[in-house]
Amino acid sequence: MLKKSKKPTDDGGAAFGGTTEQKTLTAISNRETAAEKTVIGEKISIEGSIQGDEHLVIEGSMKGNIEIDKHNFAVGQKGRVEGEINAQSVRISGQMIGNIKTKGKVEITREADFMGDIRAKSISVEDGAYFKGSIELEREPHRKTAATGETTAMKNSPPVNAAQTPTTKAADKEK
Amino acid sequence: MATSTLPADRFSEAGPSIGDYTSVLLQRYVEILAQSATAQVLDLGPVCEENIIYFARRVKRFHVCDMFLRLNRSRRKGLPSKRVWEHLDYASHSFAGINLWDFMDHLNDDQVGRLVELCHTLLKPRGMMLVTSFEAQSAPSQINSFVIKDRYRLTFRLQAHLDLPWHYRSNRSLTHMLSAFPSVKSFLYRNGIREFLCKRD
Repeated sequence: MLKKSKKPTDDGGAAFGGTTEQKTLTAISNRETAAEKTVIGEKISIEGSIQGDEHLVIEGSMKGNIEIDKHNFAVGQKGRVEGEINAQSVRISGQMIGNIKTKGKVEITREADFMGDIRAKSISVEDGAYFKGSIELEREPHRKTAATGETTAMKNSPPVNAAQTPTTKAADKEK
Repeated sequence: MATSTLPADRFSEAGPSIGDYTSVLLQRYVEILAQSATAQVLDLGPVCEENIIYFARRVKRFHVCDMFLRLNRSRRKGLPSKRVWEHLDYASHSFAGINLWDFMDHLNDDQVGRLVELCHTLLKPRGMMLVTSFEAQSAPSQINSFVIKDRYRLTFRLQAHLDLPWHYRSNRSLTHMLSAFPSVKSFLYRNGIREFLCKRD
């Protein structure tokens, strides 16, 4: 069972806004923030699935699936997670292998090492993130109109490339 | 092969100004991809939020495997360069499109050969590959990502964490390397950027 204690913090913890050095605690439930949050500390390893009704931050090591679809999930900079995540929003700053499903936003920071598939409403990815995976977002309504609109716009505002020169080559056979 | 490798300091600190440009071939590429409800596209990096959002909202699934960063790490660790290709372990015929951007500019001829071979395998029949390459005199001193803005306009963002060599190639050399693709449409822009839209048969 996780050890829980109160810890007043002003930043809401590593994964929800910055790094923390919470080395003395193995697991912290911060009940002084608006929503409850559990932090799995750096020196903790968990194997198994987690379900719950509060925000979760992994600073340690976790192997297993996480189901907190009404709450936020984060992997801190030193965190390592292998599993499937279903959460309201997700922020990855550490290592993660696995798929993410959320109705909200996924944030991948530059410190992240992520491999997996993401299904989300929106995403932010910082330059420099070590990333291999796929992203499926809500698609824009179809195309034909949009494409036509953009084509028209192109015609109306000529590109910078006045010196565009077809440099090559084979006949363009596209229809 | 008309290829030359030049050190980054061959250019002034800031490098020549590239300037934004509107990509004719990106427009064509995106319009074709968007016609399919099931298109999956692979981007070889660098990781760029704007591009991810742009493509992920227009295709069924958008894949990113940042090969710039992988090649960078591989070089830094002194690993055999062949191992970098292990990251492109996708099934054959997976993608309707592959975004190479200027990745080829950072590979030697052997590596380009391997990359083109892999892309040919990964693309579906009639799949497309978007390749960009700088002319020698126009390349910046450091690596930038191509950032998609509105109306197919591309801007650049410095990727200071990347340190890769540049290999400059003539148009003839580039098209020769892409000869596995029977249909190549290309454009040379005033800012010295060359774009190639290759289509698998």
